[in-house]
Amino acid sequence: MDPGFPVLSLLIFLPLLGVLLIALLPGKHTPTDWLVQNAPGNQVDYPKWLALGISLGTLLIALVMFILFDRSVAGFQFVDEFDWISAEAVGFNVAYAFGVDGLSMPLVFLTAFLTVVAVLVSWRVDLRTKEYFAWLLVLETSVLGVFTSLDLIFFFLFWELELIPMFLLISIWGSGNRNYSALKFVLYTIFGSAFMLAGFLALGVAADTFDIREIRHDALAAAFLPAPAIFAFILIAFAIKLPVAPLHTWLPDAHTDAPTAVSVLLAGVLLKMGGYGILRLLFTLMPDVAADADLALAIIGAVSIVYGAVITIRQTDLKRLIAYSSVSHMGFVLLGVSALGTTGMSGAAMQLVTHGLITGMLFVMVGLVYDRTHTRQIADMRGLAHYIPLLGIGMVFAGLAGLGLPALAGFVAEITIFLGAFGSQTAPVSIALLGVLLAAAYILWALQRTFFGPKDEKWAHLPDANHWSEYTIIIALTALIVLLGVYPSIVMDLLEMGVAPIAATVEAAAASASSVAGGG
Amino acid sequence: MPETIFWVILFLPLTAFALAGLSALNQNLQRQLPAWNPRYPGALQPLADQLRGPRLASTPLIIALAVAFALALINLIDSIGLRGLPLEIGAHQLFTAGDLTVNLGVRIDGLTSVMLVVVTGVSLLVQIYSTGYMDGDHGYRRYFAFMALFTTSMLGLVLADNLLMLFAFWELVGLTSYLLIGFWFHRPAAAAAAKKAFLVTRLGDLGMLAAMILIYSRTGTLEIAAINELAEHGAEAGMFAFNGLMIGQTAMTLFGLGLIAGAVGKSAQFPLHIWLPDAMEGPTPVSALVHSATMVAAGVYLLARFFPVIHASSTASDLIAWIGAGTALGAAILALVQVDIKRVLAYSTISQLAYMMFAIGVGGYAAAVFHLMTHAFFKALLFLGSGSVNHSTNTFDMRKMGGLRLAMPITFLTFMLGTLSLAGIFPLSGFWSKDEILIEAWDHNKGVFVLGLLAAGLTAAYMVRAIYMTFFGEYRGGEEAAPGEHGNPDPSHPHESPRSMTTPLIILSVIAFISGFLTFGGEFQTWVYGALPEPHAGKFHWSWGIFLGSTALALVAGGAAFMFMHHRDRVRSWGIDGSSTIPAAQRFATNLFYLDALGENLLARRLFYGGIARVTAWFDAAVVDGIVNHAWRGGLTVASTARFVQNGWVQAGAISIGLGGMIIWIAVVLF
Repeated sequence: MDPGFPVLSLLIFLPLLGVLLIALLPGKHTPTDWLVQNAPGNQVDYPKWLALGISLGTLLIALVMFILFDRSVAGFQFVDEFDWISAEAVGFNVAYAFGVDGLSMPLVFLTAFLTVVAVLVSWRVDLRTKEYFAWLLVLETSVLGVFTSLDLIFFFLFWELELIPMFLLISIWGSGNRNYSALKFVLYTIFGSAFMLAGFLALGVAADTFDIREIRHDALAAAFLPAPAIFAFILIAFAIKLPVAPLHTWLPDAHTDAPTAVSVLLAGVLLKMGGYGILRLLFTLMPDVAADADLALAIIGAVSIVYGAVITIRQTDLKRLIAYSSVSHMGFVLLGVSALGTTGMSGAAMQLVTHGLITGMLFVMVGLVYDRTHTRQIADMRGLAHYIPLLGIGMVFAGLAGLGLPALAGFVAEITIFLGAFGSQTAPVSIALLGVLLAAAYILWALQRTFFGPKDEKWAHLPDANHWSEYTIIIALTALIVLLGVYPSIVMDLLEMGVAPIAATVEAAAASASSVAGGG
Repeated sequence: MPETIFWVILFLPLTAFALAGLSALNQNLQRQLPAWNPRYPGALQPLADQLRGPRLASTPLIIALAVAFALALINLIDSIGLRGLPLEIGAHQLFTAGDLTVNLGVRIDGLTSVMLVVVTGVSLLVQIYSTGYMDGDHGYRRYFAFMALFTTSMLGLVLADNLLMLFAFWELVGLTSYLLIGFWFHRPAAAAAAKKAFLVTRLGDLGMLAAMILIYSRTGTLEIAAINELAEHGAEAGMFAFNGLMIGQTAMTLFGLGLIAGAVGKSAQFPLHIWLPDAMEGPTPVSALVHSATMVAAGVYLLARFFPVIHASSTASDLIAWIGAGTALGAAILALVQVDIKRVLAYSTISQLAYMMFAIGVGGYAAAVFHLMTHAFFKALLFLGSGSVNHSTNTFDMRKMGGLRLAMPITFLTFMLGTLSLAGIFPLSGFWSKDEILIEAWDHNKGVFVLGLLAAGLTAAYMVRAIYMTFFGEYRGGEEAAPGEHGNPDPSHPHESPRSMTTPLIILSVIAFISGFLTFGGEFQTWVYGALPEPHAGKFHWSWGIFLGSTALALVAGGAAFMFMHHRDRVRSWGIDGSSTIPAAQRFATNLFYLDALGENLLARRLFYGGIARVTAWFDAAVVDGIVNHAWRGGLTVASTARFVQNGWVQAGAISIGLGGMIIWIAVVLF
C-alpha cells in the first residue's frame, strides 16, 4: 500500500507535534480576574483536551492505515525512507526508514488505542498537567517508532527515547517508592540496551548495512562476535523488556508506583516491544541461531509462566498482583515463538495484542478503584461490588479475560500457542499448562476477596463509575476484547501474514543447517 | 432441518442474555445517574416503564427457550426419522494460524438431538419456576442474564462439531456456573463455593486441554467425527490409522485419559467431586439446572461423544468404570448422613452421574445417555421441589421441617414421584434407565455390577429418609428469613408455592413418569447409536433377574429406612441409633471421608499456598531481586567512590600528574 503521502511519518510524529502545541499553549488556565476566578467552568485544562485530540487524531490515522492495509501483499507497506547518514561520508549507511507489515500494524493500532485510554484515565490528574500530558505523547511517539523502524539505529534511538518520559512520569506523578522504582526501571533497561547496542553494531558492521530488510544472516560469519553471542546480547535486552524470569523484578516495582496511565502503557505496549523485537530482529536476522535456541527459549518461557503465576498468588497489592501476572502471560510469547512455526508465532504475536488490551483494562480498573478507595491492599477491601457494581462488572470481566476465558481475546492467543508449540516443545508446554490453572486461582481469589463478600460500611460512600471518560474507556476496552475473542481473524490474519515469512526463514535456516550436519 | 435452525437455537438464548444484561446494567446506571432514565411524554411513559422493569430480563428468555424447545423437538422428530444418523453440515472457518484452522460448526445426530431437547426443555421449566422463586430478589435481572448465558453455553457444547469449540463452550459452562453459584456473592460461603467449583473443574479441564493439544499435534485434526472414526476403525499393531490420520496406541490412551479427567471434574466424580456439595450455595433453581441438564451432564456427554475413543483403550474404559462404580457407592453412603435436603440431592447427583460413568466404562453407551436424560428430568424435579419447600420454610435443614405433606400437597406428590423414579421403582423412568445400566454391567463387569446394585439399594434408603424428615411427622417450625433477604415472613405456617413454581413441578413429574417408555423396542437406543461411527440398531434389554433383584432391593432398603425413621425413638432405645453406636463411622462420612480437608486444606492451602508459593515468593524477593538491588547499589557505591577522583580541584589534578610522573619515572629507572 503506497498512499503517495508520508502517512506513517505523520502517525509517528503527530504526538510530538502535540507536545509542541501543549508546550506553547497555556496550561490549566485560571482567569486572574478575582470576579470570575472561582466561577465554575472557568478553569479550562487545555493540555488534557489537546492530548485527547492529538491522541484521537493518531488513533484515527492508525485506524485508516489498518483499513487501507493491503492484506493480499506480504512485506512492508506505507514505507517512508531516505538516506540519513550516507556511506560515502562516513563509511556506513543509516536510513530514515519506516514501514509496517502484518506483524507491526496491529501493534501500532494497539499503541494508538491505548494512548487514548491512557489520556482518558488521567482525566483527574491535576499535578503539572502540561508536562504530564506532554510526556505521555512523547512516550507514544517513541513506542510507535520502535514498532515501525526498519533501521537498527532508529530502532535503538526510539527504544532509548522511551526511557525519558517513563522515568519522569513514574518519579514525578507516581506513588509510594517512586524514585527507587523509576531509577530501577531505567537502569535495568539501560543495562540491557548496552548489550543490544553491541549486538546491533556487530550485526550492522558485518552486514554493511543497518537496514533490517537488507541484513542476511549468512553475512554474519564475518562479524567480530560469534553469531550466538550477538543473539544472546540482543536477547538480553528483549528478555528484560518482556520481561521473563529471572529478569523481571523491575516490573512489579515500576507498575506499583507508576500512575495508572503509565501502568496501562507499560503493560499494554512497552512490554510488547520485547516480544516484537524477538520476532522482528532475532528471528528474522538470525534464524539459524534462533532455530538452535528453540528449546532454551521454550524452557525460559515455561518457567516464566509457572514461576510468575506462583508468585502472583502470594501478592497482597492488587497492582503488584497484575504486574506479576504479566510475567506469567509474557512467558507465553516465548513459548509461542519457540515452536518456530507459523502457528506458534501467530499465537505469540496475538498474545502481544490481547495481553495489551486485557492487562491494560485490568490496570484501568484497578486505577479507577484506587482513585476511590485510596488503597490497593487486598486485605483492606471487601464486598466492593455492593457499592460500585459497574466497576465490579468491569473488573470481573477483565479478570475473566485475563484467565483465558473462551469468547474473549486471551483464549485465542493461548490456545493457538499451545496447539502450535506442543508438537515440537512437548515437555515445556506440558509444564506451562499449569499456568492456566494458576491464573484462574489468583484472579478468582483476588476477586473474591475484593469485590465479593459482605458489605463493608466504610466503602458505602464510594461513587461508582460516573464520568464519561470512565464509561468510554470501559466500553471501548470491553468491545475490543470481545471482538478479538469472537472474530479473531480481523487481527490474526494480519499477524499470520507478518510472521509467515519469519517462520519460513527460520525453517529454511534450520533445514540448511541440518542438511549441512547430515552431509558432514 | 437446515443448518440455520441450529444457529437460531443457539442465538435465541444469547439474545435473551443481551437483553437481560442490558436490563441489569440499566438498573445499576439508574442508581448512579438519576438523569439516565428521563420521563417520557404521555403514552410513551408506560412503555418505557415496561422496558425498564425486571420482566425484560425474564420474559425474553422464556420465549426464546420455548421457541428453541419447539425447534429442538421438531429436530428430534426429524432425527428419529433418520434413525439418529448425522446430518451433512459443513463447518465455517473462524480463524487460521499457519496449519491450524479453527472452525465453527454444528454436528447434528441422535445424541445431539436428544441433548438439545433435554437442555432446552429443562431450562425452560427452570426459568418459569425461577420467575416465582426469584421474585423480589434485588439481582433478579442479573440472575436471568447469567441463566441465559448458561443455557447458551450448554447448547453450544452439545452442538459443537470439533473439540476446540466444545472446549470453549465447556469453559463457558464452567464460568457461568461460577457466576450462578456465587450469585449471592455477599455470602462468603457462596463466593468461596463459586471459586472452588471453578478451580476444581478447571483442574480436570487441564487434562482435557492436554488431550486436545495432544490429539492435534499427533493427527492435525480437531474434528470429533474424524477422531472417532480413527478410534473406531484404525487399530492395528499398536497403531490407529484411518483416512490418512495416524496415532499410536499410547497417545490414544492418553487422549482418552485426558478426556476422562475433564469429565471427572465436570461431572463431580471421585476425587474431584468435592466442589458439587458446596455448589448448593447458589439459588436452588440454579442447582436444579446445574445438577440435571447442564454442567454435570457435560462430563457424561463428553465421554458419550467420544465413546469410541474411551473404548479404544482398555485402560481408559476400565478406569472410568471403576471410578464410576466407586463413586456411585461412596456418594450414596454420604447422601445417607446429610441433614440438608439439597446436600442429600447433591450426593445423589454424584452417585447417579457415577452410574452413567461406569455405564460408559462397561460399554453401555446408550444406557448412559438414556439415564442422563431420565435423570435430568427427575433430578430437576427433586431440586425444584426442595426449592419449593425452602420457599415456605426458609431453610434446607430437614431437622427443621417435617409434616409438610399436608401444607404443600403438590410439592409433596411431585417430590414423591421424583423419588420413586430416582429409586428405580417400576414403571417410572428411572427404573428403565437404571436397569439398563445394571444389565450392561452384569454382562461386562461383575464387580462393577455389585457396587452399582448396592448403590441402588442405598438410593432408595436415603431418599426415603429425606422424604420422611421433610414431609412426615410433626412440623418443626422452619427458620426465620435471614435479614436483608426475601423469604417467607411467616415460616411457622408453611404454604404451597405459587403456580409459577408448582406448574413446572407437575410437568416434570409427568415427564419423569413416562420418559422411560422411550426405551421400548430399542427405539431410543437406535437414535443415539446413530451418532457413533458404526451405528447399529438398539435393542430393548430385559432381564427378569435384574428386574426382580433391583426392585426387591430398593423396596427392602426403602422400607427399612422408613421403619427406622418412623420408629426412631424405639430404635434409639435399643442403642443402635446412628449417632451413638457408630459415631466414628458417621463422623467419617459427614466429614466427606476427609477428602475435602485433604484437598482444600492440606494440599491447596498448606502445601501450595503456605509452602511452595511462599518459598517461591521469598526467593523472588530476597534472591532474584536481591541480586539486582545489590548489583546496582554496588555499582553506585563504586561510582560514588570513584567520583572522588573527578572532584575538579586543579591542585588535586596537579598532584596526580606529579605522582603519576614519579611512578613512571621510578618504573623506567628500575626496569
